Amino acid sequence: MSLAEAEAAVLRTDEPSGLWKDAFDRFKRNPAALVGALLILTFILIAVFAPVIATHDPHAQVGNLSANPEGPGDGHIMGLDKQGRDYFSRVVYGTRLSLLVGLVSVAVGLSLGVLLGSLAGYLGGWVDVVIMRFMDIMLSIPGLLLAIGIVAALGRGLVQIMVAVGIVNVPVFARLLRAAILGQMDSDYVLAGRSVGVGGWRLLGRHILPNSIAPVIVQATLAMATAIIDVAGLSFLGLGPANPSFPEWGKMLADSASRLEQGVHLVFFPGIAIVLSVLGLNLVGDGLREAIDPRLKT
Amino acid sequence: MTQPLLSVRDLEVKFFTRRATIHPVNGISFDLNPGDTLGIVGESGCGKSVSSLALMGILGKTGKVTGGEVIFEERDLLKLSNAQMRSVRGRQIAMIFQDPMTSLNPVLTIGRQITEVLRTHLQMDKEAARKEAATLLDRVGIPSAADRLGDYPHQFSGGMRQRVMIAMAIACHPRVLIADEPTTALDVTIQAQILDLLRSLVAEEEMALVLITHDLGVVAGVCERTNVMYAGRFVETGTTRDLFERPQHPYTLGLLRSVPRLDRPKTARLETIKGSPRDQTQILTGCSFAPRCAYATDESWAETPLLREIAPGHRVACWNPVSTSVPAGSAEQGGHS
Amino acid sequence: MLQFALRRLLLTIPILIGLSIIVFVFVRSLPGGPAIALLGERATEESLEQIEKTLGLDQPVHVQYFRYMNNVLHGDLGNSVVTRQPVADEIKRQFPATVELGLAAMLFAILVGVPLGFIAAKRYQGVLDQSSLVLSLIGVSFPVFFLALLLKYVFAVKLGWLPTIGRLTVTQDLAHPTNLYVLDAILTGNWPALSDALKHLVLPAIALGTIPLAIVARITRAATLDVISEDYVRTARAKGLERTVIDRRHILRNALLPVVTVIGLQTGLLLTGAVLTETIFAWPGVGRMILQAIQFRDYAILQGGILFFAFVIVFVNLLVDMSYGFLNPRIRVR
Repeated sequence: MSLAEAEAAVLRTDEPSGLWKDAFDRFKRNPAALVGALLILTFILIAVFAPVIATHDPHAQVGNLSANPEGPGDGHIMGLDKQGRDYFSRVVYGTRLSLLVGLVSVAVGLSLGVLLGSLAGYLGGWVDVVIMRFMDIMLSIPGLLLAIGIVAALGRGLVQIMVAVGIVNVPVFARLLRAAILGQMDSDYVLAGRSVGVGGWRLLGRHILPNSIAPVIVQATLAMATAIIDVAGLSFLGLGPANPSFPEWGKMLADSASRLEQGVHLVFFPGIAIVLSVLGLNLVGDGLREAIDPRLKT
Repeated sequence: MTQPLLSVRDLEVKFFTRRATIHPVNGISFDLNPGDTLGIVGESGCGKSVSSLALMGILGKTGKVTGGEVIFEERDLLKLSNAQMRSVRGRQIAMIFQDPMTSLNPVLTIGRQITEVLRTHLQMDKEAARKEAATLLDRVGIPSAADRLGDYPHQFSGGMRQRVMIAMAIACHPRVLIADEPTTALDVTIQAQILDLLRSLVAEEEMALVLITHDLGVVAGVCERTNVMYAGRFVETGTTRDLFERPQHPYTLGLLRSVPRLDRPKTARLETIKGSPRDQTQILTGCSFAPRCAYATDESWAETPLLREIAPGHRVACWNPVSTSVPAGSAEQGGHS
Repeated sequence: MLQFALRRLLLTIPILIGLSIIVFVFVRSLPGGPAIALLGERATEESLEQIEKTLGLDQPVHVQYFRYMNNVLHGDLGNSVVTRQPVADEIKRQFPATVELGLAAMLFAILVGVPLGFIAAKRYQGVLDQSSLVLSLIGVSFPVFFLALLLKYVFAVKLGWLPTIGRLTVTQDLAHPTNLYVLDAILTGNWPALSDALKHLVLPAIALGTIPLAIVARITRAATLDVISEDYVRTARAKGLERTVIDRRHILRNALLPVVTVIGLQTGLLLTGAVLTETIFAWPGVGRMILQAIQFRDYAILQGGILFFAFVIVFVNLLVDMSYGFLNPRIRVR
């Protein structure tokens, strides 16, 4: 027998437990996922308690305008930026922006994607074909480029980039939902439900959708990670909020990109903030994926 | 008497996983001579496959041989380095597996898969290997052999693929061929063909065949001798005929009885062996079959029985063998089917 | 085999058409519009109308589209609003730079990522495996532009080992038969130029290739793990083959199949990253060209550039699909 069968022989003696509890247990045992959860929690706390944590007003000028702003030093944990503002406070308030943006974009993408995917999966026929063809076309343009295109059409600004990144997310969720629904349609409990006359929407809402949630949650977490990166990228390219005093991490990076010798701290801190927040989301998303389906070895 | 070709003594195998230690094989011994056909019979999980993997030295990362020896050509195979063992594998001792669908590399032509054995072990050059491969395919009964060398596994049917596997196995004229459930994944009619093929090859090559299976019908057709395995041990060994006509171990009896027969009335219930296979993480004292045995006595629970000769060439590991006892309180008499 | 290729080709045509429509519509909906971009915002009504007539912008959208696509099929992508030069020429000039960067990045990702993933899988749960997982995740969490900036700072600015911008030092002479500088240097035997070009290529390639590397390593690891537990690997072992042979011919050959697909999918990521990387390293490629087109409202370049990118992606995916058919006999031979 193979090792798998041998392990199965061992596991047979375990008691059956609920699906969610199982997943939760597995998640708890995954050190990387826990680290990720910790990171995310930290960022959420920073965002919520920003006014308390920040040492200064992020928009206020406390030092001189300088092409060579000071690095970390007394009173300023992360130094000053070129406009003489406290960098630490700006990074802290930037957390609010990034998390907000991440959430909103994913929410936009998720709701639209779930809607389209459900329609395609449940109704089938030409609705399915049209929707999925459109999704395919969208997917064949890389995310950031598509977002750039949308922003170019809508104009620059915070709302616009959130919408753009949100739209970019739609095909992935649509595909996911459609696959999940199609998978469920054949399953016994759906057939049973239909045979006793449970109607379309009820079936969808009460039975099919709840069973398709798990991969959506995983995807949403990962999508938020890419959303944060994409939004920062768009800001970096100058397509983000027009107001220059907005402490958006990507923008902060862009402002300091031209002359690196003048102050690497200007680049380093917002960049690290992005990396850590995205890493946290990726770790959690991965951990969730493994917790829900441990057979996957990725 | 001359030395047997292959001699396995008290082979013990354990798997060490994070959760528990598993004991699939708990001391088995058998001898093979050229031309022998030995069947190893048992249900899934009894350790029959693991023992041959251990013999070949391809157990995998968590499996370890924890006892015993395997003497082949005056060397203990278990003590050989991997490099030394490699020259034995595929060349002196060959193995074929259960599922021909997944046991062949899907991206290589079958010609390649056969010639690589020839070129690795016999140092043949490309041309010679190709010719030999075609001959081998022909021998195992694949029509238009030479043309099919360039085909891929998915272009063959299940039975054909198993023939290909057999061709790969006998390519270097091994002394021992181990066949692990070779027909389980095949249709019944194809089964018969494959078994015939094995039988004739054994005769032609004068090799020893070990046929591992859970199917009694298979050993009946091919094997001169049969060992019945349960919970990592042999519980009964002897000629196949003896086992079928005079089964001694209650497990053997149960196996024989559970085979549906055409001459029984249609309404007769299928016989089963009550209980389920043992938990491999535990080592129990006493006979490991006791929990499922209708013939169990106090002694069965207390001490593990060893194989004892109950008739010439026929051994059984049982405190209460079928022929000498009556099950406690049962209307059934011990006897033959 | 040919049938297979043709079928794939046919399937991509509707996608290409759809793409071109989307790009066209988007660019048309840019605020400001091409006429204003040409004449400036203080242009009078009449001159605007005049220009629009000349450029054919007063026609209905679908007519414009068909005229445009007709031109495209004849190789005419219009003229740049800013430089008045043909867009097609501009693209021709710039895209070797992007190709060179993209290839270098991909090569880096594959040459480092595949062995990394493979070894990590073979030593499952060993030190290398655990750390490779973490490193992969960190790798994909780094925005390209941040990584590029960091690399630039550490190696170019602080340590001064490598140049900060461009493809070649201004004073370096080099003939350009292919416009792929590294290749050019090799072809003309210009060794100082080769070293110079390589030095310029290193940082951008690493910056661009790191995320694909993380992904390639991860997929290789997963694929290898899957393959290692397959029955045919057990058969190969039972046949007494050498370890390296088993690794190469049986494990890797099968594990690489999904990796190849992933590499194709990475092209999109690569081109996107190129836009950012080229900007940071002042690498004169199509990515940077597109970005500047947005800033200068050069709709013709923007349209041509995005269209070009999209076609390249589709084309590369097609190539990948076909090579997958080549590598996996089950698809190839029906």
